Amino acid sequence: MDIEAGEIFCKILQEEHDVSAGIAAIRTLLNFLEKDDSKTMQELDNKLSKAIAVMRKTDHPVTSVASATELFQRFITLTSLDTPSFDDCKKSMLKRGKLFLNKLNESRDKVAKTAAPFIVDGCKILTHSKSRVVLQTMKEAAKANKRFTVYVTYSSPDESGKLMCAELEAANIPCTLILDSAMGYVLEQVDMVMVGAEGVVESGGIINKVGSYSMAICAKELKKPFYVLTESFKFVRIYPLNQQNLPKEFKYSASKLQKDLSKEHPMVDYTPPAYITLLFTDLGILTPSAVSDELIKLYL
Amino acid sequence: MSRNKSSKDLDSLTKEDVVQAVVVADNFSDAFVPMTNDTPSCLLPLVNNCLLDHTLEWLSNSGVQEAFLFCSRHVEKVKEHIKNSKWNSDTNPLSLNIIVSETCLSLGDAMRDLDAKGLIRGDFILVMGDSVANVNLLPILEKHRKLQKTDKGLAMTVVYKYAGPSHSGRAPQDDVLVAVDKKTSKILFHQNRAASSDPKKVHIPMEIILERPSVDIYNDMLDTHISICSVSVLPLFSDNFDFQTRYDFIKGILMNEEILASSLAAYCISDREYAASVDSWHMYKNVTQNMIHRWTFPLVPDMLDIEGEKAYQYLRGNVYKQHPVTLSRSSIVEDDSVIGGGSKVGEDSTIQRSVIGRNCQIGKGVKIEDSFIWDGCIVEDNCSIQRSVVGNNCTVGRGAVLSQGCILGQGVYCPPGYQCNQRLQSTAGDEDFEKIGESAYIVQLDDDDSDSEDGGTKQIWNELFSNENFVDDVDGDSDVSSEMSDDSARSVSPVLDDTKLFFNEVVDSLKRGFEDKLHCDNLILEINSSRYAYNVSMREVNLLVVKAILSLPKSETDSYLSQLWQLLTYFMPILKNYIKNPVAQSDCLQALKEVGLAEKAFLSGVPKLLNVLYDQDILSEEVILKWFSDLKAEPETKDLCRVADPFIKWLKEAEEESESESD
Amino acid sequence: MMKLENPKVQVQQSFLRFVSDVKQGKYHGSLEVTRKTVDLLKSLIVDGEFTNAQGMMSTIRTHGSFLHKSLPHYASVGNMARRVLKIVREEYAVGRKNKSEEMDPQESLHKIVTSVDSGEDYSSPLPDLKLSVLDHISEFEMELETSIDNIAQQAQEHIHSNELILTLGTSKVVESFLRKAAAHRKFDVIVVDCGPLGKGHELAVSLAKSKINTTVIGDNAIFGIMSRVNKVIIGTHTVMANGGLRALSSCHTVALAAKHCSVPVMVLAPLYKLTPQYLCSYDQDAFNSYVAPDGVLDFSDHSTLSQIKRYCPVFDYVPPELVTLFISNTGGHAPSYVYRLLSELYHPDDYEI
Repeated sequence: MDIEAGEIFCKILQEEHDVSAGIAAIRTLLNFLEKDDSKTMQELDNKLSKAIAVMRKTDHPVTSVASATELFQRFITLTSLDTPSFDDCKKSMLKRGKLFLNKLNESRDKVAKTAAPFIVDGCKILTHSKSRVVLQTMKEAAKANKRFTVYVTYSSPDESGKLMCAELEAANIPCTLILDSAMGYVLEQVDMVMVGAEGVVESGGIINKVGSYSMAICAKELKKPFYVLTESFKFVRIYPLNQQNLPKEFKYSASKLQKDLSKEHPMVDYTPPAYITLLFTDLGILTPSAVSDELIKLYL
Repeated sequence: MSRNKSSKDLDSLTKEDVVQAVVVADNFSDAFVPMTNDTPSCLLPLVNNCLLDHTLEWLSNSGVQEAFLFCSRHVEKVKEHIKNSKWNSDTNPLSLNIIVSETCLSLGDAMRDLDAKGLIRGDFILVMGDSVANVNLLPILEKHRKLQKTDKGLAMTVVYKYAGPSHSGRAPQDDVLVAVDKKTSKILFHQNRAASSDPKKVHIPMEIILERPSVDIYNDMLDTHISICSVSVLPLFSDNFDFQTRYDFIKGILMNEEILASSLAAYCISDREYAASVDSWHMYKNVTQNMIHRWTFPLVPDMLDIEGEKAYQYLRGNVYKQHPVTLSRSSIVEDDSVIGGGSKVGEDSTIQRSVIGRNCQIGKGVKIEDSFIWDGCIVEDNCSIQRSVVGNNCTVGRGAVLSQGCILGQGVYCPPGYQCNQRLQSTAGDEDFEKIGESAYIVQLDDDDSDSEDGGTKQIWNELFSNENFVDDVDGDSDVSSEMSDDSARSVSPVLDDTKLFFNEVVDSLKRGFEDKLHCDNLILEINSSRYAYNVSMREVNLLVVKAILSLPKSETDSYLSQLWQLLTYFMPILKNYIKNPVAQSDCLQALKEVGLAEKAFLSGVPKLLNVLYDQDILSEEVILKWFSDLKAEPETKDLCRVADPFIKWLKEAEEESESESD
Repeated sequence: MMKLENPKVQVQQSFLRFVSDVKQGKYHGSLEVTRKTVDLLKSLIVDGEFTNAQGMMSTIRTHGSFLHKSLPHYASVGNMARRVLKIVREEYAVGRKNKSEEMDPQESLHKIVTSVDSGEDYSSPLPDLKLSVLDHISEFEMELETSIDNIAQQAQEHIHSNELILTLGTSKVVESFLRKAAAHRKFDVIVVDCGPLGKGHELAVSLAKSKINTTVIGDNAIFGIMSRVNKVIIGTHTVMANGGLRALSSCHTVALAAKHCSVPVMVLAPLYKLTPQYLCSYDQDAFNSYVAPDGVLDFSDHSTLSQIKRYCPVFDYVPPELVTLFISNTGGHAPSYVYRLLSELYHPDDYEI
């Protein structure tokens, strides 16, 4: 059963490129819930935890999986509080689960709608790595007849920037691939930085593809706005104090955790809130300080 | 319906408080032919919004409650426009009444008609339907009423705006000189310089100054064509059938002040306020620019709210863009430009200092500078449009070149590749205009019948656009003379003004001499005597005389060169008299160069001119060659070098030949 | 049908007149404009016949968005429409007692997770709605009336004896704030003139009349004098959603200089100036207003200088990191807290009107 969860999760991610890991995890769990035959809340909870653990061990970015699954568990808890009997509870869980998923699916469009007006005619944007939200936002802006240019970093080690560039070109948006080391060089001519995020932490900072932190520092130095575009299911309840403090499983893929980590490249870094101008989420435009408010509202 | 509402408004206010305005929809001239062939002048668009709307917007913003719109030509179109506009709606604070009188041919007729209709019972504001302004009228009206208390005969307060004598916002036909009593603001003297016989002289009667403690004489006033009228103005028009224009009225009142028992007052609006009337292409261009430069704030494109119209976006460099505009990636729109909604601009096209209307299609590689393209035009690929006006729904064929004051009337199809600098209209009209393509006819402006109006405006248009820096043609040579003083060791800077006066004197005597066929010897005498009067050095004289001869022909006319030859043959003795030695010869060539730089039409005549002067032994070979080699060193004389080159080559060859012969 | 149409048209007319009056500059100061806006919106509710909250809200919204579009530079006009809408929503919620639990209007993670449908359609008829809304609006009007006083009451907490305070332009709030403080303490004020639009000298004259030691300086002397200043106290035109300011031009200069010299910058902003808008770009529509350039260069000089471009922007954008504290009628707030205040003031569905 747990193994199955892992398989479904991987299958979704392989077959549907447009789905982010967080959504895939929630879909997997919903699927799991449908087939589940537990008799008590306790049992269900245990099973879910196991399934989540399996997913977190796959070789996919784990940050958004962590945040999304946590959200799902919260969803289960809150739903169970509303209904007395377990059977009723399960019914309403499945019903609400659909709504829940729908809302999450809409979130990317919502972000794109709020962020697109910030792309003005004639501007130049620097982005890092590949982000589906950023891509969607840029497409939205291009649809509104705005002329802008995008610089995309190669984003080592997986060179996901190349993919981003290809997608932008397919959408007829002029873009240039630049070296990661050239971000300082390019920054002086761009108007803003727009990046996605794998996770948004309680301080209002973000966890994103390694290099985002450097970009944010450069942007701050050159006084360019640093915008983060992200769906709200990526809000995660941790409060990292520095880079070392980030959980290891966030930084390294599951297969590498056993190796000597001092010799491995981290996959993500942590950008503190002081470097972030605004966060565009499906909950609206937030300042970094508003993030903790959101999390408190949910988990208190 | 609107009458009802206005009467309701009247109840709530005391009668005196209703501010009435008369808007005259027609300008009673054909300054805007062919645009006004089937459209009233007040409906011409200025920055993509028709003039009448600008006027009414201003009136309603400045506290006018009731306006009478007086129409005479194309009445249906005006009515239609008003019907579909916000001015017709009950909710508008300005109530508008349309008065029709198709027989009116002048402002005077309109006033007499209004008098006959008896609609106006109190003081009113008289404006043209082509006014663009943001001045608040209430203080002016208040001032007018205050003056009325002390001066019962006060008929009209004329509204002026400060603008220096060579201000580009002043149309030459509005160049006025006004004397005003400082204490009572009464106008004592008014002269329109364009209309007077000698524009340089002003004759102010002595008694005007003697009778009063202090009199202000203004040369820096721009007539805004706005007037605050007492109710007595209408009967005054009715009693004096010779009053046709507002100017006639002002002149008439001042001349017969005692008999008519009326007087005029002047009001000068502050620098923060703007007012102008668009009655010529000159003003059209200027008011457009002023609006783009936001002098007319809040009457600027991004602040206007017209029903059914999207607002304009105001961008850096004074660029206004209405939603939705499609600009291709490589197109450039810069510097004081406006683009109306629904327009598309193709790749590699540039638009500078121009106004593009709504729903225009601009192709690829098009260049538009200093031009006005009205709504719904199609400009095909690789066209070049400079300093031109393109009316509604025109099509400019691929690769056509419109330049220097070209005006296309509504619906003209300009054939591909056609080069044009004239006025075109889409129908043949009554007269047999030359046909250059399907719906494209060259408009011939017959100079006899309206020379001062049309010929004048066309000239102004051209002058304004072709020599942007030569703002005032009287001072046109100042640039040249200052250039002259830097360019060599002529050491004339302190007597610069004298030289200028001398030059004008020379031009005058030569002009008169040629017209009256005076003998050249007498002219030489005259020039010499003015030379002593102004204390000008001999070299200076040589230079200026040649320059004066070369600049006599009218630059706009096509017959420039033929005129030049006539003049040259006639004045040959004068040239021979002055240009005697190599020093004088180089002065002569210097003059040639300066005229060549200033006057494009002259360039093509340069080789022949050199040839003639050479043949007449006025210029020697060495001097010409030296002059030419100097010329090559200067970058700005490239064109001149190019045209002179064949002659120089010929000269060199001839020299070599003669040398070989002597060998 | 006609009966229904007519009152609406009447109200529209008063709105039109209001817009044209504002454009003609018949109202002085944003408080007057704000007050009048509330008046107009109130008259909408008084005159209108509504069967439910939905109708009331849609009428307010159409008129509010009309005002907002006609007067884009007066952010408080749009804010008032938002505020009145919020009042209607609140009264509606109170009226329908069965929903006793207070709904947080903000879109939140919590809501996503609990998957409640936030789609309240406000269609149930409530007979007392009109009265209660009007009561609530009157309360709100009281708040508006006293907002300047309330801010001034806090003056003593912020201004101490013998301090040197710098301010700029003319602002009624700043004036009463300084006056109030002067009643108890002695301090010096420097007023930056902010030409050509700011008219700082007018404030200086009025302060001097109430016996406050006042100095006027030009904009060019801001940096030079800043090192001696203890506090910068300014008013603002609008407070943006991120805590940035849209204020009289020269404010950015003042704020930067203050930052450089580590001088605290206090911004006096009554709550009605808080607007849920962000700055996307300096070229943003209706962010800045460019008036006739007569203050920069005279029109009569136009010909000689025709090659020169002239601009006269009215506003500056001051980023939130340059502001130390906002002082509103409810107390002091950090710039990062503005978003929270906004979510209390307006319903998120009304952010875009």
